Amino acid sequence: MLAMVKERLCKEPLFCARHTGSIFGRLADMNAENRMAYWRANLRLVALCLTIWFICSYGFGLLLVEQLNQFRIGGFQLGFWFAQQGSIYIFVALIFFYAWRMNRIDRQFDVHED
Amino acid sequence: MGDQGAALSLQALTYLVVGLSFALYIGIAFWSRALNTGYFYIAGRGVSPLANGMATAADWMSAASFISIAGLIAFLGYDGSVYLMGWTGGYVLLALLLAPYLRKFGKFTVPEFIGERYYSKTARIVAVICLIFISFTYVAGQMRGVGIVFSRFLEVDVTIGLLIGMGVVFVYAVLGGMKGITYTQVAQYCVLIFAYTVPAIFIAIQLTGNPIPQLAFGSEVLGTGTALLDKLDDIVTSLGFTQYTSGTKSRIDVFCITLALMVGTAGLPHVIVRFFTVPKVRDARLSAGYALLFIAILYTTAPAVGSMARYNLINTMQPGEVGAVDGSLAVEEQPEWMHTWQQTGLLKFEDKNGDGRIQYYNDRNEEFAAKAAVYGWKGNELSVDRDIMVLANPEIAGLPNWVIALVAAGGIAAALSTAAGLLLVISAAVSHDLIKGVFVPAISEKQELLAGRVAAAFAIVIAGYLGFDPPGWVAQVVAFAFGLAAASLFPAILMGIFFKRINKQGAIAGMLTGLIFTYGYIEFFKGLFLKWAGSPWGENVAEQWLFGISPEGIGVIGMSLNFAVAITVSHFTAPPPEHIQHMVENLRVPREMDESHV
Repeated sequence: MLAMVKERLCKEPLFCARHTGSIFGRLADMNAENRMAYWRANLRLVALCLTIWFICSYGFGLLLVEQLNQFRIGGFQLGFWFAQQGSIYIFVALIFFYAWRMNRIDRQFDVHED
Repeated sequence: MGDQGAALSLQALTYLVVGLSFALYIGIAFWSRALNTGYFYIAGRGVSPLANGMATAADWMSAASFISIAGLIAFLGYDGSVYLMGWTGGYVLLALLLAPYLRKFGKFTVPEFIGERYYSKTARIVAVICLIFISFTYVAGQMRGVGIVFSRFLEVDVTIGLLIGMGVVFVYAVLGGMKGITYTQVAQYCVLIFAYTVPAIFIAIQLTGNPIPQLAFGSEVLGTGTALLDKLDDIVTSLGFTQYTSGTKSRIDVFCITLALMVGTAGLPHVIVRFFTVPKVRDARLSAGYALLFIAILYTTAPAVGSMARYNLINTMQPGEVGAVDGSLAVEEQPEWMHTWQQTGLLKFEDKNGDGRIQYYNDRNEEFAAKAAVYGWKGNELSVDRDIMVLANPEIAGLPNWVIALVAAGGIAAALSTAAGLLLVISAAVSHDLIKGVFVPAISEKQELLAGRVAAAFAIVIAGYLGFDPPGWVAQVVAFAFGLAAASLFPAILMGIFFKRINKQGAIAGMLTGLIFTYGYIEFFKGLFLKWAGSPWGENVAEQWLFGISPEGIGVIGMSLNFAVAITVSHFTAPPPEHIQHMVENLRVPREMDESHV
């Protein structure tokens, strides 16, 4: 896991620049590049989370509800359960997942708050 | 203990519990007085993510959530899911798309963000108008909720109930500002969630033996060997109602209503502003998670309460075989709670066929009505207001008096916490956005704080008036408030963060388009302000709706129009100035990358 982070860091322009020695002239550019990379990582994570958000609520709870209702968990029909219970649990988990992942991305790109 | 409980009447007990909760709120307000504008608007930005999560939950969950939602689901069954998903899923949008960036912006109000991002006082004023309309709509409903709880449980006049409620909110909102509101909301969350879950647990145990309501409504009913929901499907269809676990609304409409509620939730100013109060960007993210967790405790309990309440109600009304002579409840065997609720007018019955029994069935189902006519039934004889399901639930289930008193305190807590949050954003919009931001920029901080307090006091009086004499349209306007938030504020904020190219002209044109279209559609089908001019002009039926979308869901189209207009107009006009583009870039990172970190 740690090795992966290190490898990832070395791919980021800002960190690689450390090894080049002549960073100050290009600082502004690199900052901009790092910023872009950070923003892209954020957007990818948001896209992933919103896809799950959509599938679990609109997909399982609304559009596919009849197909899912043929399966059961306990005394619930599965589609009904997603609409009235499951989707809400997934929403909660998604926000915590996003917060946790974003904190890691912040550190990775060195934009975390102290 | 048991003897004492019996000695205290329900009313005395309710006074005691509600009085104690009021004392607690006012005590907290004195302890957390606001001394400057930073504390008044955003609690000095010192609220922990956990406390802010609880405060947000109380802020968001109104009298409607506490009192109405379980009742809505009880009568709508699966169709009620749109409210459950719609009013929780919005937090995912809020946490991922808005909250962290607005916290980074680091100012006091939502119109302030829109005004600065779109470098325009006009944009700020448009945002203030949206905010004030949305918030007053809501607050009127809250005050009404306080009045209902007071009149039923404390048996005082609705007006006196309202005045007491206004007085309490006045003390802690005007004195404490955001700081006072935050910590009272934390206390109110604890009161309301305890009050909501305790009766649910009791009823779950009674019916299924499983103490966890979320699991209980998927369990077997004690002594029958059949799952609760299956049994419920059986008994509701045997009386001609729609099957509980399946829906009747059209797909596209359900889809749009859910989306409008979600986006509307994320665009509500009094919810957004709560995320301005935490110390850091990462706290804003985490805090949204806590907020939804605390909300989910109520929102996952509500469908359990709804199904169990419906089951209990029908079993009470139909103790025997459907159609048998002695199958329906005899009038003289009515339980006590039916008498008490009949006095409030929220429960009504009329023995239409004069057989001395109460027939409760769906007389709008023609097939079943024909069958009922053979039984000698002459129409449904019982009407139950959806709103009483939660309030009457403990009585229906025969729970002890202290539980009923607790439910009263919980309903009041839910209403007061939301009302206070709404009043604060209204006062901040007036003192900070209009007075300080637009009309009298030279005002000193002390004067601004005073203006904020005066505005809050005025807002309370107007809210009280609206609650005392609600215009006929309050209930209808709730849909409007969500549609308005979805169609105006949400897209403007979202584009302000995610689309750098959107400029002043685009944002203003977009907000106005979304606002006017959404308002126009609702006015056309439901009638709001132009009733004197003959609105509603359209018949509010599915065949007439645009793409089959009801006025409740039309905010989604308003939102789409807002996006389309803003993007098109921005494309053909000058890009925002350099410093604005720079500001947007700064919003997107929690901390600047500077030389010392290289």
